[in-house]
Amino acid sequence: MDESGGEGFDAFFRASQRRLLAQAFLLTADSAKAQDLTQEAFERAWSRWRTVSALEDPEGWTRKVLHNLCISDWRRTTRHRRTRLDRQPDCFPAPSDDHLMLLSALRSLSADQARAIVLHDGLGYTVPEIAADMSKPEGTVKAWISRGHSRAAQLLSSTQTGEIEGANDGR
Amino acid sequence: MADDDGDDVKRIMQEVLDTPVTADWSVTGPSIRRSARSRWTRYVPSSSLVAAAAIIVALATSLVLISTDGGGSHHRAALPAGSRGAGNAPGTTVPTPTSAPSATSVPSSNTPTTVPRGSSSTTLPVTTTTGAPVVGPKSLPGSCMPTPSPIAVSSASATACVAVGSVVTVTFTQLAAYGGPPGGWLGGATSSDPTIVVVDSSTTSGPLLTAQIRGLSPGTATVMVDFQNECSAATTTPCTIPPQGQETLTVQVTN
Repeated sequence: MDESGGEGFDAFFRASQRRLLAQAFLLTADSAKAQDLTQEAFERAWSRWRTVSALEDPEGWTRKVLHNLCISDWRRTTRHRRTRLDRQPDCFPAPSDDHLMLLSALRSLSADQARAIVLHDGLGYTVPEIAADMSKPEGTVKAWISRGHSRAAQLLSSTQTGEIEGANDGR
Repeated sequence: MADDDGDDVKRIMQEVLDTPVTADWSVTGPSIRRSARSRWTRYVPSSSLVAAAAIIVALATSLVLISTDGGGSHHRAALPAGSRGAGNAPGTTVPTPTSAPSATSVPSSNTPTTVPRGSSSTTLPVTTTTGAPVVGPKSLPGSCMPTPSPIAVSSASATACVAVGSVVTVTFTQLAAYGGPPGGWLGGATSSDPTIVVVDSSTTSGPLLTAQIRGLSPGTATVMVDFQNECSAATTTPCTIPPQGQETLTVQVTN
């Protein structure tokens, strides 16, 4: 890889790394893993920077790669972790119970559903924007979001009920 | 739309996304560029290397087809990409190499299936089994006829049978799954369940990744490899596929 475009990439990295890192943390609830995957996504962006930089939305491309990396990571029980010399284990605080429950709900969805929910509820995309981003009909996206919300609500309410029952048991 | 249901989701997501980092991420643009350069040496296929790879694939495939179950082997339709753990007909052979066409020309008779770890916007044609079921050699449920080593994999998914304790060589050949040339390998082969199948070694050479796998205990596990993939230069629509391809070998380990 030649170094042409290095300054542009560095500026892109500075502008977008916090957002993407936070999204990776949202999708992993693991600070170290979020850093690994975000770094991997940026490395991929750099490995084809000539193409990515010419896109209308390089961050969108990198985000898509990152989300897929995170979601793929859910499917794996093992993963060859590359050595990251510059990882900060405490980059994020420990995930909250709500966060873990939400992640559990997302993991119970299909990859497309999970992505749609993150784009819609996390990043504020509209349904037409998500449909365009994912090259799917708007109706499909609406259905994904609706089902995802229902699933998440189920899990969240069952947890809250469990917490109340658990508290009562402890008395 | 279950808007009420979405309120909690939205709230939690916003809380997480707005969480201030407790320490600065020390990674920088230049460090990303350095690490990308050192780890992901791009593979640029030369014509001679491509020809050599084609010969190796043909030879390996011939070996598998000739030697499996006494010549009575059957081609197994490629499983939907990403459908790890899909039912394996005991003793079936590894699918023959396929050249996946460009995503822009999906035959109507095929079932579009999401590319493993890829974007939802792209599909690969996957041949489905519509005729008589593939019949493998007779074996007891939960057992299978071990696939002779080496095993050649050059499709999105394949199956194999390995006896407990045996070490088998598997050669993965990159697919040109998106109509363009494949790129570098991303890490080595991994096992979905190292208590069933363990990857002893994994080495790459151009478009080939050779792994030594060992069956540890009866069961089914998936051995996965990942690689970068280019979009086709001829693709007229914007190619937004995250540049990654994956091949999987579903391994049934038998006593």
